[in-house]
Amino acid sequence: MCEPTTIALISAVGSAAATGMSMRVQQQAAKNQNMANNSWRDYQKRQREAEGLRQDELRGKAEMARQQGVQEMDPTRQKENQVQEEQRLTQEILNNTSVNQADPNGLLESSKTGGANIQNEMARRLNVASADARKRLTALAGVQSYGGSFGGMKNYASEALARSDQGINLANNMRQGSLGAYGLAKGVAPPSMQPTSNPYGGIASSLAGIAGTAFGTAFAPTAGGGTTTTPSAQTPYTAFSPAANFGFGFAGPAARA
Amino acid sequence: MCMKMSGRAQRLQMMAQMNQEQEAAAQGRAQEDQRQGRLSEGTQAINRLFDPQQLADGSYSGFDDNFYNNYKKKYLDFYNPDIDKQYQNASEKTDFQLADAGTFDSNARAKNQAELVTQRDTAKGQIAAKANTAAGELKTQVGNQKTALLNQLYATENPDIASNQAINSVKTIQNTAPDLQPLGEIMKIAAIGGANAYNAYSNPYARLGTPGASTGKPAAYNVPT
Repeated sequence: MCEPTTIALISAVGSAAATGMSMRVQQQAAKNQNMANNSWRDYQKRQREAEGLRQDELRGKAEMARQQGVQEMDPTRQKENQVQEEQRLTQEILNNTSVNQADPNGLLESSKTGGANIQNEMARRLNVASADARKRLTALAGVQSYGGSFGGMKNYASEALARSDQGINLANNMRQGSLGAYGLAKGVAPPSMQPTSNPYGGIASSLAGIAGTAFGTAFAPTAGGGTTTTPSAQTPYTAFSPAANFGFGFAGPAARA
Repeated sequence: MCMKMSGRAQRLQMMAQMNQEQEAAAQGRAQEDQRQGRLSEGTQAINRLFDPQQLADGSYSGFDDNFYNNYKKKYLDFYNPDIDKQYQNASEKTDFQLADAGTFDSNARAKNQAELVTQRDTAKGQIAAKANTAAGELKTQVGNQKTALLNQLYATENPDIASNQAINSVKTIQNTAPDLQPLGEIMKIAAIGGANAYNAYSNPYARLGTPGASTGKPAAYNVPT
């Protein structure tokens, strides 16, 4: 048996040391958590910035395709295109006729037998016929150029929109895919510290309890008003049983009894 | 000492856990990059097959203007001879009727022939316009097929499938023939028979037959206007 005062002092010192160790462990854990949090924040920031750049780039491509479509669909441009198509189509249609040829079928030649009057009349009639046909076909080309001719407004607009759609759709498809991949990065959870046992806290608590009990025993007043008693006269200090309570914070069976 | 180890182990455990998740995310990003690469590759393959592109030898691949011009030419090659033939027949028939009526060398002939010329040129112009519209429709069809193939590419994300489908589509389009229907009767001949009857009634020579018919020369009755 040791002196209660000695035991109390040793326990108090031990408790203080264990408390210090416990605090150190907790500080270390908090430091680790902070470091991990900072690392996670940096990772998320990098991912966010990289995804922002990717999204901007792809949005830019989609926007370029859209603007291209808007430019091509501009009324002024469509009118210009219609005029060009009308001219081109007029030429193409007239080239398939003989309205610009003087005497493709030898009609003037064959009318020579009838004399100058008949020949002149034939020439006049053929000129009028060519002019009439040319006029009608020019009008036809004009009408067609507003609609579904090869380069007419209908085809021009649908092609321009298709080109624009294709650019926008491709960029959007990639943008959606990129967002999905970013979702994986965004889903990386911040690291969380696994709660681990910190024995120092228990040790400190136990030692503090022992110290308290020992101090109480050492400075307890005697029954007859005396100041101290010999330890043998007192209840034996059975609480100090390292094997039984060291680190666990409860009194041994004898103390409980 | 033991506690220090525990703290380090804890830190390592946390970092390992985060690294594992980051690796999974990086793997997802790599897969997305590969997917985008496949989309770009497939899109380029489709564009190469469909859009006109100049080759090293100066010729063009894809559906260029030559392709559509050939289509128009086939269209015109089918209808133009028909119109020419109909015009030829109508012109001859008119001449015969005029000759029968004794008005071959006349202003009536000029009028009737000029009318036939107008009909022929208008018909050929209309055919040219239709050929142009048909080429426009073909171009729209080509564009629609390209769009459909791009949509399939987005669905499958497999450039090989997209490329094969594009090649098949291109072959199908290149074998496309215009849906050509017979033209029908387009030339309307003026009613020379009425003039013929009137001429036979009023002209005593006409009752004797067409002068010069035996020599093969056309009659020379001038009808002053």
